[in-house]
Amino acid sequence: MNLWLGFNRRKRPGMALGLILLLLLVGAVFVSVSLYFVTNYFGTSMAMNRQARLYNAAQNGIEWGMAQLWNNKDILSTTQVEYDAGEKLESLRVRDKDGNIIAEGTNPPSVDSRISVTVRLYDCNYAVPEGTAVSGVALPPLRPGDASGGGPTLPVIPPGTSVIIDPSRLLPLGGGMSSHSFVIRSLARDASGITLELETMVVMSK
Amino acid sequence: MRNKTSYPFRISVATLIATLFFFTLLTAKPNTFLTPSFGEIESADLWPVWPKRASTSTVFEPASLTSIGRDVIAWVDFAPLATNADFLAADVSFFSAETEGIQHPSLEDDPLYITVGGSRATYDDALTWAWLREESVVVGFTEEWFKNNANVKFPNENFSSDDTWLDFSNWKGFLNGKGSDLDFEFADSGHAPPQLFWETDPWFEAFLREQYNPSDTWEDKIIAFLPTNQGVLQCIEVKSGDVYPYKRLWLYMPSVASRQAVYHEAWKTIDIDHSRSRLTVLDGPVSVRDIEMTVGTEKQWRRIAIGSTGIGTDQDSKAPSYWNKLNSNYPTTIPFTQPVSTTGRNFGFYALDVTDPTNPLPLWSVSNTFFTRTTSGISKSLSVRKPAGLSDSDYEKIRFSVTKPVIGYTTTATPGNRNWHFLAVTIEKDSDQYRWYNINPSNGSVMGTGLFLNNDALPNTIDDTIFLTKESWENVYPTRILPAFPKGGTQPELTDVYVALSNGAIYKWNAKTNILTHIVTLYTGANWNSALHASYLTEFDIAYVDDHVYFSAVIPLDYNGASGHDTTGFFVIDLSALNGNTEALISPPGGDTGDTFSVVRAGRTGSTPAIGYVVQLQALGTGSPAPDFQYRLGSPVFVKNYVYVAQYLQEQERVKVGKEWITQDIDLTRLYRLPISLSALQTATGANDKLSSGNLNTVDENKNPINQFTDEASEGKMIFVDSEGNLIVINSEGDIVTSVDTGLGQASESGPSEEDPFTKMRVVYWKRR
Repeated sequence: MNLWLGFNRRKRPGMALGLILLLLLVGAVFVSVSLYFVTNYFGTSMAMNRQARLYNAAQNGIEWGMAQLWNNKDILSTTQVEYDAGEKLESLRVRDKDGNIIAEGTNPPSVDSRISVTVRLYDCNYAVPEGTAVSGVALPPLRPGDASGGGPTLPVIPPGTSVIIDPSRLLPLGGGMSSHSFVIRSLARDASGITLELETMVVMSK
Repeated sequence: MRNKTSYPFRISVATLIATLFFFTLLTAKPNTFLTPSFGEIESADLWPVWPKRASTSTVFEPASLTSIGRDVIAWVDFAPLATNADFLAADVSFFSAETEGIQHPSLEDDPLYITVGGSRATYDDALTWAWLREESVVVGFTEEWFKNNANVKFPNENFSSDDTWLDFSNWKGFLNGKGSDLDFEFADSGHAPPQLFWETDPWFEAFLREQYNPSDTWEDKIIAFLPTNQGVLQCIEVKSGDVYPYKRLWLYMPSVASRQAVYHEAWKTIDIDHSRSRLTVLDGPVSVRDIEMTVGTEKQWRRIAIGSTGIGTDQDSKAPSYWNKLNSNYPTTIPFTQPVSTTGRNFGFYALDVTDPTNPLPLWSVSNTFFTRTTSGISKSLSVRKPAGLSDSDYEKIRFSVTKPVIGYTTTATPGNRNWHFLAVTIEKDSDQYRWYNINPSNGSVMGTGLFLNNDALPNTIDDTIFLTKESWENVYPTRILPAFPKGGTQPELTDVYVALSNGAIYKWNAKTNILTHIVTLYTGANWNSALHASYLTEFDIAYVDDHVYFSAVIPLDYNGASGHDTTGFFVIDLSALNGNTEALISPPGGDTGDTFSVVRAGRTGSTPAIGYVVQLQALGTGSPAPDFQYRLGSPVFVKNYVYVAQYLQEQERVKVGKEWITQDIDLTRLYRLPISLSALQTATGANDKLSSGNLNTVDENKNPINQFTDEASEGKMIFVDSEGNLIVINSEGDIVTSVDTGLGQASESGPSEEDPFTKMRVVYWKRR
């Protein structure tokens, strides 16, 4: 009996409290972790959403740039330009035959009021003067009349005419360049200053 | 009274002596068979190798490529000397649309350069006996090669101030054509037409654009290069700014020529019956092109000229009598016997840097002199001379090469990077097989070599089935090689290089992969039973129309009649229509009147596809012997779906009398213009296979495709297509005889112009930056 009483005497009131506290601790950790995941997921979703909106806006800028080239296809200058070492690449902007920069001062229609888009059209038919520093400058790809390959057409040898490569054979090679490469760069920026830039090369041919 | 019984005895004695003689020869050691009756020979190997004189003046070249789009042309005429029919002199002529008449270069005591120790030096300053002994003695100089009992030394070849046969000033007069004893200025140029080069290369300018940055030292200049068998490359300034000086700038004797050139003077002393003997010292064509070279650490565009000795100089053993003829101080009798059955050749390639046309610089050269003496068992190559880093085996297989050097590039996997090539077709010295070489043009290193294998994987060899020896066959009907713009390609790279071997085989060579594809072998004859390998008399031409690849060339024709007739013809075939056949027979229509055409078919049996046509010229005279090849043809040229061919009539050859130059009387008497395709030709002529004369500027020109120049006043000399697209015929006075509008000047028909608007747009890539 005593033994039993002795045993019963060791059962102290309040022992359940410790267990409850332990459970609360575990629960708090669980909740904290859950909250962390939820918050992180929310942040990720927000970033993805921002990126998607930036991407969509930049993509819209690319499409708009292509439209600018197409709408001005009759007046585009195809004269080779020269890189003037300017970091903003102003010398490589696409111009019309009067020397005016295409789409200068206009921007693509807004698809998101929280995002601004800047589009630049660059001419790939350019020359870099000897000695000009180009490191660290994001020059567009150099495609002088597509002579570097990959273009759809090149100077044309008249059909049925000698194709022998010789300096004494100066053929009227189709009057010159018949295709031209341009690069469109579209930079989207949201209110917090986060940016995303897309680049597209298009070839226009005759 | 004659003792008839002594004959058998005499015959027996003669037989015994002959047997002993041959036994002696057979048992003699190779190097001692020459042991004289007295005296000592150090080694028979040291018996000098000596250049043989050319014994034929049958040179059909140079027929230059017909110029297109240029207003300046150049050509040479050959004629034998009155004092030696085997020596050909050349007359160099220029025509410019901007100047009147035909012009000839003015010559002065122009700078004459030689190469000493790998560097350029002037003849006047640097020519020494020691240099000649180093450059021109084959085999190597040995002072006491032979010593007779009287203790007189015979150097195996001697260049010393005691040699009265050589006067430096007189030799210079021969080299520069200003010698007072000469009745000519230029020796013949052998297989070499004049090479004109303008300020820039139009192909690189059109396709490489700003990647192409040639030196501006050629600004507003037109320069002509002509190697002549005097042994010098001659540089002539045709245009400078607005002026046409037609003035020689300089002469350069490349190392490959200096091994043999001095022997012109030796032969002049030896052969006192003739004023000059012809040595083919610098007989090969020269090509000038721009290449990219690393100079120091910088990659630069340099303009280079590459040429060859062409057919090269045949070698023999120096005859014993020559010692005495060249130096009267020697004993009158050379007490030993010249080795017999000695054959050999001196051959070489050379490259000069002509980026500054007034300052030529030696770039590299290789040469190989070899000989075989069957009687002594000696067969060796002598001192292959080459840039450092090359092995002898790179070049010692070559006997000669008469093809025009092809210089150009192929692209690499890295955009904007190019590999540069110098392509040559040679003849192997031991096998008579055609061997190709792909060489680095900036240093002469061999990037690839191999044989031209046919469809049975057997090597092609020179044909000798008619009447010429193999070597003469290649000499008279040299192999042709021309680079074509790659079909469907985007750059003028060397992936479609066509080779027409002198045995009729046609190959396409991709210099990027060194894969050579045999396309077809052409034969001529009335039928396959009498077929002979076709050979090419002039440069060929290639043109594309849609998927078709047209090939045109000029060949000799032989057809059966009451007697054999030799004449000339030209053909156009579609290489894309062979339908798997690798042979085709060019069968002439026959008949003496000519101006008829027949269909060319591929293959020998079964349903043989028609691939083109052949036009046969008139055979002058009838019966046997009929005059052979009196009608000749210039190089065919394709322009706007037509082939143009000029026909020349060689009425007689004249010689130069004194200082008065009279050229060979070869007149351009007809101009052919035929549609490029067989079907178009058949449509134009109906069922008739006969061509008729008319005016090529009329509407019905297709029915009358021959412009005939019937009187002397209208006879022409040269043709070219000018910068306005007109095919121009000029006469020997430089007057324009005929002008035919080819339509080439109408650029808008051939492609969009700069002013035409864009009509299409496509996206190349889309990426996030």
